[in-house]
Amino acid sequence: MNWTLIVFKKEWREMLRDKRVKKAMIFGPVFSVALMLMLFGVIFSSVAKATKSSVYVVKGPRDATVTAFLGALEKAEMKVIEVDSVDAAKKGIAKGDIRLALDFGEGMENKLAKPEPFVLNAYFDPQEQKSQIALAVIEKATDASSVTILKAILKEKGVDEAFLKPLSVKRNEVKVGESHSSQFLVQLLPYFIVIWAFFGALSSASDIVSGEKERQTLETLLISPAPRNQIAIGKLLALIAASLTATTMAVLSIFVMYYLKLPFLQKVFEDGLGLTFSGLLVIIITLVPTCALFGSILLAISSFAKNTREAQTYLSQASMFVTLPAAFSQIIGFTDFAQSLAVYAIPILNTANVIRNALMGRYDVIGIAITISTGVLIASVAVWYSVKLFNRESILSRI
Amino acid sequence: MVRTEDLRKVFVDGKRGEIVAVSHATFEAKEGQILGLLGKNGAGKSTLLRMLSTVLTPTSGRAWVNGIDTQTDSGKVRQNLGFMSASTALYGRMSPREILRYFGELYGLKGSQLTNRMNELIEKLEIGPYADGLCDKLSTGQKQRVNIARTLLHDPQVLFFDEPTSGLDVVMSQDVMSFVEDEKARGKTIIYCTHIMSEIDRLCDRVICIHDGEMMGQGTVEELKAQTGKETLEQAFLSIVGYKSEVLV
Repeated sequence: MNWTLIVFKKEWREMLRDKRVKKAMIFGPVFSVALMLMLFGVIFSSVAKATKSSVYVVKGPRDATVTAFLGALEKAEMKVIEVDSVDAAKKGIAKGDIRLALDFGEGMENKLAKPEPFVLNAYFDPQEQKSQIALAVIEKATDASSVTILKAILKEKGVDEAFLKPLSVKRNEVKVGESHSSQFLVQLLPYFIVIWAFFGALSSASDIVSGEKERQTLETLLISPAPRNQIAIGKLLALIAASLTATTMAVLSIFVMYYLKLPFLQKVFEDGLGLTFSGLLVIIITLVPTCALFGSILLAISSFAKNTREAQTYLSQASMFVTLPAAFSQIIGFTDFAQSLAVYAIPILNTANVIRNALMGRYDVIGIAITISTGVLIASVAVWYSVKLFNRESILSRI
Repeated sequence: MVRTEDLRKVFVDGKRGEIVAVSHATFEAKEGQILGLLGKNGAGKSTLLRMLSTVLTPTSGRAWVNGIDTQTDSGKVRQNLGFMSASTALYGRMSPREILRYFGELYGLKGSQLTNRMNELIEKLEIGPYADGLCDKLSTGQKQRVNIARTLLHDPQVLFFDEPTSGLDVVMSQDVMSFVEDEKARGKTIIYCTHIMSEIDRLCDRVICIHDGEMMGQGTVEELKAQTGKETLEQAFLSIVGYKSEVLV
């Protein structure tokens, strides 16, 4: 008789009826990923908008060079507004009405014609991020103007204008993967996919064994003819299913947001989704042992704890051990670890790294093999241990 | 039939050392009889029942349930017994019908055999009006009826009742005892744990007094009274367990 299937079906049915579990397993991953994408979409749009915002210019004589400079800013979709004086500009900045004010002073054209360097004063609040963005636009414009002026000077002196930049770097991008996501998606998505594989099953975990102990339903189950191993495996499968459902929901949410083509998400998906069929397949294959590992850890904790409160204490501590390696995957690209094969032997981090690579269209076959082998090995040990804990006589007497 | 030989259970606690929960328990419960286990809280009654139902492994000694060795064929033992206690809860997010189906499947019942048995018990125990609602919404009495149905679902030859009326009102307690008597009439072997003397008086053919894990005396209620020279079962029990009080003088 397949007691495992009977127990699994019952546990799964109960999970789907529990509002807390549904929130953690379905709504949590869907909405958190969607909200995260929307939030960053809004931020990226705001940054893009900030580069096209207003710039204040202190009133004064405008020679041809100043007019040309301001014309260039207006061409870059910046609105140029006049302000009476430097003091008025500073007051406006203090009140938050002005983000950036420029004071051209006098004699810009004459000085540059001599040629002599000219200093353009920019007033801004360094703690205001939008001011920083506007300043960057102005600096870009002054750099461009400087180049034009220098070119003219060099031409006058009969020097090749190419000598303006005697040493330069030419960017030659080498395409490594089939396709790739934006840097933003590569950094954030592995973290979300991995942590939801854990948190998706977390709320069911405290209930699945320790909850049964507390409600005193476990004894009747253990007195049934079903062998304990099969009961434990049935419960474990339910936790793994919850974990897989949650992480699938997180991935689905990304796809839905991508295909909705919302205007404010354009910047987030400007390089496309970058997830190919083979990438998705690799992600699924590596996630399965990870979900099995998470399920086993959760079952072991639930079997060990006397009651749901104790289980929740242990579970919150365990979540730290999952969150940390997953969070490290966000910055692994800045370290040498990203290229190290040793990373693929570290549980959780290896899965996040494989997902990261898949999003970049890179498939390190040896790395994937190590990740899957390590995952299967550690998950097998974890499954064995959690079933062993469930088989202990004290599973009831620790009440 | 249930038989034990020198059954013993010792728990080892890190702080308190060895705790003898049941010591040298030897007894026999026959078919069509109710054997009462009488003892105060923590006397070892539940530990004894847990050993017989294979949830706990005896430290030493042997036991047979319906002729099956509890240690060599534990799965078959569990297939042949029904266990009920007042503290056992139900799955709150499942209906009584779903719970019966779940346990029926665990006990190997299938298809029409399971459906017919469920319907029979739902009707007999008058569960029908709330059979499809969630158990979280049921009263204590209604839950206990579902518990009885779950215990009897696979029609086991041996039944263990661990303080089944604890926390129940008088009417429901009477109902539970009636069901126990019905099962006895059907030739089942029943072990009934309680510390309520009136229940022992009404139900049990034989009684075992347990105190601190030791079996202090056994026999019929009348035999226990005669052995101790006391008029009531309560006085006989207190005398057997060595309780000293002016009341007994």
